[in-house]
Amino acid sequence: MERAAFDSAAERHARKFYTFASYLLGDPHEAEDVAQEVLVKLWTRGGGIPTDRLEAWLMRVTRNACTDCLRKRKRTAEVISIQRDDRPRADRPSPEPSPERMAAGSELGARILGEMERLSTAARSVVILREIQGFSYVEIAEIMNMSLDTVRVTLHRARRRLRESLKEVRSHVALG
Amino acid sequence: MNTMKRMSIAIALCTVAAMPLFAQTPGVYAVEDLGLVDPNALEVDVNLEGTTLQIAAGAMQDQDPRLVELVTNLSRVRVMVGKASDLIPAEAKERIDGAVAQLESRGWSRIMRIADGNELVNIYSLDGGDGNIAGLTAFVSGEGDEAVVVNIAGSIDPVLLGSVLGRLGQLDLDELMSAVPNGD
Amino acid sequence: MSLSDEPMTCAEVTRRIEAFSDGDLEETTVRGIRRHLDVCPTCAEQVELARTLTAELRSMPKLDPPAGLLDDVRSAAGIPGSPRAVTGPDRRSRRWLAVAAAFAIAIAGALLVHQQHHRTAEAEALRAAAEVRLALACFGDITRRADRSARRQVIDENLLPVISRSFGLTERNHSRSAETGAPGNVERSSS
Repeated sequence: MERAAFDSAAERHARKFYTFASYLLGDPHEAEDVAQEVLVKLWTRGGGIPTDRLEAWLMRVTRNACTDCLRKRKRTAEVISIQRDDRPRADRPSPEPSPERMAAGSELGARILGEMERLSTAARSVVILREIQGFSYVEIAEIMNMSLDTVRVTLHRARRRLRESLKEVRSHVALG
Repeated sequence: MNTMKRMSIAIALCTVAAMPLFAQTPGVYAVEDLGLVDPNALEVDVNLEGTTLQIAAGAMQDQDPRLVELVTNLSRVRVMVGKASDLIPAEAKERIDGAVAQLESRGWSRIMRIADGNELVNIYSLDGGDGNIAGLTAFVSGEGDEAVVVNIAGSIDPVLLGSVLGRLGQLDLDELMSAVPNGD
Repeated sequence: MSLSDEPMTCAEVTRRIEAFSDGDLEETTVRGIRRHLDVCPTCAEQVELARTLTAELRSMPKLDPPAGLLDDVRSAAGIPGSPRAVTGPDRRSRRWLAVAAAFAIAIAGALLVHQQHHRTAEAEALRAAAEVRLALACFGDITRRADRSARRQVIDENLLPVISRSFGLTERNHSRSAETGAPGNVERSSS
């Protein structure tokens, strides 16, 4: 890929795939690793991708890299911590997920992200792409390599599950 | 069935069998934990993952595009070659049997198992489910001789792999390794 | 899809909750749903939950990658014109680094087309490339050795006796078979 095209594509799309990786993995360091991997793939293979397909391609590469990452990781129950950290890599402590370090400082948001961890990777991906990042169903179908119907059904089921969790959370809060 | 046909079928079977089989899930296996290779007597110790592999692919861009394509789709390359660990045969066998049982319980398929003299070669693959191979694991063990463990994971196109290995096979490993000085 | 003024069931409303929250339905359907919500507290609660969920998720921030990520990648990947960067901690053994560095230099003339560079990041990339080639070559070596052994054994076990018989010769005790042990020590899976 040409240097100028690489720079332009990276500047244009990095935020999208880094956001996706961050929410999907719930770990800023792993998300950074994935983002690095995606950028290197952009450099080595992006030259052959038409510009209008590049965004979907990058998101698909991100999804695959995240899936690999999740497989490697030993999953324990975690609360998602999503906090931007601009300190140099070596200085950053390993992230200690805690309910307090939550996106936008919203406790409800924190709980929702926690519940999302219980969804399958595919369902969580669709929720992130649609609800957080605002991709269309068609775009999501392309990124996830699913049919449109599958995207709709997956999203519907995921949202229903999240609503149920939210209802439970609320009733505990009301009782507690 | 005449002899010639039988011979050609046998040879074809050998060649096909030497190619990785199709299989199913993530292909990482910690071959280094088998303890078959003496860590103090390594001739080759390659441990590459993720981004480093992508960077390696980037550095190969002006070479064989098939090699670049293959490496770009790898997530892990772990190879150890060296003197076999000082194990009694029964213990070595136990470790190998244990590894085989582990692999098979995780859905890996045996491609080949060869006993040639005192050398035992096991090659396993894991189907990626999409026509590609998710992992390849090989271990070569022999009493007091050289031992090799290999684990390659990713999305491996078997035809591409066969083609790349064929070309790399034109290199003389011994010559290349002897060009490398030992130690720091 | 539009519906008549027939009252809607809970199932019909639940199916359309997301579309309703997103404002993606026709006016007649929206009216039908609203009429149902007026008399069904369960569905009303589901709609409210759906709206809360959507509102929270949509308010979550889009995140920027850490500063310097792009520069680090440019340097590490040896992209022309990149600033030099200090590479991160190397997980490979020190011994292999030295060997691999020497190996990369050794094969550069024979195999690599690149000129030797002195920049740390590019040398790292070349070294990694050299290691990958070596690793793949090792694996290839194993499969070839195993294949040769298998071929030899299959020929010995299955064909030479046949050939011997067809030429009226007695079966020989082949030295290879004796080395490799009893017949049947080749186990091969077919695809």
